[in-house]
Amino acid sequence: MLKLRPFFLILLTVLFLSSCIKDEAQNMEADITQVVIDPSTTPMTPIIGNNTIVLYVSPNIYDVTKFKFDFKTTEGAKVSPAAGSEQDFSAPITYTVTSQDGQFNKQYTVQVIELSESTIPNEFAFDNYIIDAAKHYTIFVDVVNGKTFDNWASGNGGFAISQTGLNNPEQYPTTFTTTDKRSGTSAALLETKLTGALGAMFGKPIAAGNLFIGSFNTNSALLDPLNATRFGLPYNRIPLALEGYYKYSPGPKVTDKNMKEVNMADSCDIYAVLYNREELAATEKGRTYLNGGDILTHKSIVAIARLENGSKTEGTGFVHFRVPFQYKAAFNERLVFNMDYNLAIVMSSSKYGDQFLGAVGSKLTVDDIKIITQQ
Amino acid sequence: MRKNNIKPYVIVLLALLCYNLGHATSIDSILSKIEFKVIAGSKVGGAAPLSMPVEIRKIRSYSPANPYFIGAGAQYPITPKWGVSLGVVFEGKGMNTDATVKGYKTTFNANEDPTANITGYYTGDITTNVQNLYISIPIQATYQLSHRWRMELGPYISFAVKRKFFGSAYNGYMREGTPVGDQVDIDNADYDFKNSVRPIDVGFSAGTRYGISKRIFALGQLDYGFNNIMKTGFESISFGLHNIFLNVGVGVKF
Repeated sequence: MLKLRPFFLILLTVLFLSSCIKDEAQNMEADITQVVIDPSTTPMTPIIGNNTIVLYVSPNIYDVTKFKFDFKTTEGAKVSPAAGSEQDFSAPITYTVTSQDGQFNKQYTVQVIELSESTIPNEFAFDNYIIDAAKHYTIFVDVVNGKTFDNWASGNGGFAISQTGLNNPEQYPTTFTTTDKRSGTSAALLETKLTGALGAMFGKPIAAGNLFIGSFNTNSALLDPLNATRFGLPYNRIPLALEGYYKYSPGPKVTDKNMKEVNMADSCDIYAVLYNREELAATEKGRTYLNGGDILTHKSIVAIARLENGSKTEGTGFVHFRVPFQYKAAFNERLVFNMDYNLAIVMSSSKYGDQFLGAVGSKLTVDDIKIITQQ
Repeated sequence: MRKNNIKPYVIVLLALLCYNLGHATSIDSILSKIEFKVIAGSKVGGAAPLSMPVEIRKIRSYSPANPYFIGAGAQYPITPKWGVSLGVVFEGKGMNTDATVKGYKTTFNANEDPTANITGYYTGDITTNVQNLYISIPIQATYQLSHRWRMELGPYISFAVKRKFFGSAYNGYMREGTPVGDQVDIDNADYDFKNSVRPIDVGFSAGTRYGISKRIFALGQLDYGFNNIMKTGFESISFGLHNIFLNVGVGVKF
């Protein structure tokens, strides 16, 4: 008699299916996952992107023309040049990683920066940028003494994940403008944009245009965007004031993370933060950057210079601003010169964009920013 | 198995029908021989790949969805042993699974908006819920093995009356586009592929029934769908899925 019970059949099916699970395929990924280097010689944790690695090293320890470093990769990946091989890092070097299965490879541009001087200049004209080859978004860079530094980051890399069919820098929240500049060839244009249905699914329906000194970690872009923004790079001067030119036109309707209308006007934000990186690292398990959650609140912060009123600017022209650094904690001048401190400059087209509160269409244009430092 | 394997069985059925019609004496004598039946039961199975794809590393849970069928049919004996039967069955074919995958090519979308999705290779945990309802028409050759046992074999065509194919990825990450694309952590990312479920499913079933009493019988039957349940051109899952189910039930004949 057939007395097979459904439960028994289910069990049989599961056993059958489980028994069919194949041996794991060879890895398809080709990542450098970690740089192995003595942390006492690297002021910043190495910044590893999907195609770039930046290694900041303390001065007078390594010879960057004969520099070698070790790294870890995804399982079974092969890398050329090999880990630990000596290279001349006077200019960036391209590393090619091939996956274990041999089917995929990717290239990393590896830059080793000896921090005898901060890579952050005193003036920012936003005339130098590159366009990401794959995603077509703008990446602002600083050129100091003929060397290019990836000082600036934005959420563009996260925006690229939330949308398909982006093929023009103008489609991104953070881009350049050659028509609406104060001087030079271009200015930075930040605009709050919709992230589309996918962004809404993750409770992130809008993306404010943002531009900051630091790096953006795409991994956290959808789940934990506050942790994706990593603010600040090593700095060895004493800042007194932040000044520059901007214009701001808020979008008509501020909405919250559920796209519900909120009765307020949008405003922009421009600020700079000096913080004690060594103190931060000591209290936060080696973390060498402030993130979206603590950039204005962490106890390692020494000074903040912030635009007081980010509301709509008068007229259609650029407006000059100059805000002093308000020192809230004591600092050790010798350790500042020793590069123990980090500086971040942060700009956003929606002040509360980190909480997904802002107006689509809010536009912030910024040009000719300066940090006034103690001589 | 390929679709053209269906042909021999159709030919056998047609041959049997022709043979019989040539010898029928009257409509009445045909009608008097027809046996009608109603059947109902449960099933286990799923929308499954033909062999376990290498992307699937662990099956964390599995249960059939809507695992029921109810139907009616008629059987006509052509010879004392051979006969043909035609039926109509309302049935659920589905499953709810939770699996751990590695390098699983898929697309996460929202509101079925084709411009807003992430396609790439996902590693992590993922649920798959297939909850389709079909009306199926089985045409079967029957063979009376003994007084109690009867074999039933033949093709079926199923029409989807409700299509559902959805799930969620959690505790994982996506490589955008290719396995070397941007890596982004994923949790609670939903997908919905119901519009890509093929409205028609063609397959073959083989089963047996056992007469418990004069009117009541038990039945067991394996259904195998020839075509991928997803439409041609659907690339968000890198392997084909076939409706494969074992049906167990009871029937009443009269």
